[in-house]
Amino acid sequence: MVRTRNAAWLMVLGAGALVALALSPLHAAGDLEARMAALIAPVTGALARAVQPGADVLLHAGQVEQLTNENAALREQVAQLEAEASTLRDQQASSEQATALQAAVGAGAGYLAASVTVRDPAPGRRGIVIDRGSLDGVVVGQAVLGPGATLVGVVAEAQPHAARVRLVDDVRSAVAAVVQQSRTPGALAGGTSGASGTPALRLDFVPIGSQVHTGDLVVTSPLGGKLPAGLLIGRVGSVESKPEELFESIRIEPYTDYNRLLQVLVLTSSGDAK
Amino acid sequence: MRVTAVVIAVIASLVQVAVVPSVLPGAEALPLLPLAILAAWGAVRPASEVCIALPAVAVVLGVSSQERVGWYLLACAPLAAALLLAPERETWPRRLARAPIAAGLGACAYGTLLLVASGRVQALPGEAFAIGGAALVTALIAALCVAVLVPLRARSVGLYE
Repeated sequence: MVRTRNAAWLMVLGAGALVALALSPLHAAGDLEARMAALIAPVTGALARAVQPGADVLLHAGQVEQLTNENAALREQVAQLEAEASTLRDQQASSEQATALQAAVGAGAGYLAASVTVRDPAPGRRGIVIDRGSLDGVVVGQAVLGPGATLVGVVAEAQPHAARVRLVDDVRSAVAAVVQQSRTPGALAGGTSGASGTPALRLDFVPIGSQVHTGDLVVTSPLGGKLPAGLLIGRVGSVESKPEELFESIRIEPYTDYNRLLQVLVLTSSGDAK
Repeated sequence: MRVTAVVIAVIASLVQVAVVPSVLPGAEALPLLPLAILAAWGAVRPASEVCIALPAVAVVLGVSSQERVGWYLLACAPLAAALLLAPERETWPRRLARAPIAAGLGACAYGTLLLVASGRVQALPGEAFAIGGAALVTALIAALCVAVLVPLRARSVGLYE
């Protein structure tokens, strides 16, 4: 009796297998299998992760010393190669930035190429120290240009062999600027945006209703008097008008990532700024 | 005990999928832990107790694989046949010997059928050694499982029990 029942069950198993195979081309069958696989995947994944370290130890138990030596040698090799690659990358980046800067400023302007030696570590302060100082002709108030001859800051302090540059996105920075397309004047100021305190540029004191649009170029203004006119700063990122405010809220997107400056030019005489 | 058999079989299948390939990387054919355990269970306990557990194993292995579940059901059928069609009333030594034999044959059939299902019939002669090796290890595991499961064997109720 039991054997008959077992044989019947065996036939059911075989028939079930054939039915499952016959149905397997159906999309629903594949979908069902995929759902079930997704159900067990976390369990198998957790099991595999739990077992992997033990399996590694078991599989490599006889090779621990050899692997340790190999690992140490490889680490040493990697460190050497990283150091070499890092030096080459720095040299390449500095050379590229310096060449691009000189090409962008043009022949008429007097400038000094300088390397960035220090970034201001103080939170909320956006400044750099360059390796040229008053003995090289650097004076307070000179414009400092970054890639593409865009204005990145102003010399704030000149020492004999170094100078401190206040970047335009520093909270204490204020530069007379103008929207190139509409000739709308404003004051370029640094600050922060959002809860994260990300440095940001804004154009202040632009009255409501001014013809300022997203994408317009912002350049230095001849009205300030301290900086040469026409130095590119960035472009208008967004313009917001609030009825209760007197001025537009304009965010400027700089063309330069101030965090990646390696080489800058100090504009000693304006010439023909682009 | 059927539920226990199903739970153990499913756990063994998950271990088969997740752990065995890590422990035996690069092996051409892997020993089949769930088949070994079910062979031992079917030998020690009434064979009908694996009736639900075997399809459960096939489903877990099938959904974890690129092959369809139907192939796994078919691949598990030879083991089911070896367990279910064996005589019920046998001496214990013969019953216990049934486990490694059934596991070995089941693993052979399983490996062969899935190789055929994957369309690699021409690779069968080359893979025979690997499948045979896996079947041998499966049989050994089944023998070990029998030793562990013997305390769970079904005992006939005597007059004074």
